[in-house]
Amino acid sequence: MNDVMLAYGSIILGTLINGFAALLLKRGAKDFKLRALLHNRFVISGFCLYLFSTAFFVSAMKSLPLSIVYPLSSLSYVWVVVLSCFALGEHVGMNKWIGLTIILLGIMLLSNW
Amino acid sequence: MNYKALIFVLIATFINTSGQLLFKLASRSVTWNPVTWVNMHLILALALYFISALLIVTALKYGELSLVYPLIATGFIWVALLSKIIFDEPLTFGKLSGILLIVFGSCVLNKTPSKLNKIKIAKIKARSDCGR
Repeated sequence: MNDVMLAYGSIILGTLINGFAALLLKRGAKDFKLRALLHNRFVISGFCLYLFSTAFFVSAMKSLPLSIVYPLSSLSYVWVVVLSCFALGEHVGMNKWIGLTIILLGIMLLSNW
Repeated sequence: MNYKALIFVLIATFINTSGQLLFKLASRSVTWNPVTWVNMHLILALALYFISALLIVTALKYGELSLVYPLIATGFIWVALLSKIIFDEPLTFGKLSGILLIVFGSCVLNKTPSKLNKIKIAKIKARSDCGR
């Protein structure tokens, strides 16, 4: 039971890191040039965060079935929308909030079974 | 319907799904010891991830986000079916309906706003630009 709780915790943390990685990539996309990729601090740190978050998912897979961990990674969609609303001040339309609610319902169903 | 985008995103989803299965295999051998994280399954899975990311970017070049993302989300279904076959994970009604809800939710999330909504969003944006 303890391992399972830890796995759920690492999924939540992993998806949150994923959300921040997406924020960094968005910031880096502003002045993105393929040739100057290695000088783009935001894109590089975004990639590093993505890589870092996979470690959380892989460790969660140790004690939870793959068919639960992988769909639960959609929690990062929720973080991305919330972060882009509050950190970037992007307009988030009604369809996005409805979509998020449906995804959250699915996540709740999944984590119970 | 844009066939180029469709083909790219289907290949990307297939590669992504294989990557997930490799991640699961890798998770069996990793521990707190960092050396265990250098294993063939994990390296191969990361390589597949990278390739599928490139394919998704290419697909986005040809097709709309509202087509590409829901198709990627179908990967959740493929992974669940394959984990049933390969890892003998139970596929219960609750699990399947949760996954289908997530796929449906990401369709709604990435739905391109209709023309009327686009005008509304443009108006809201214009208003907030004036406020600055």
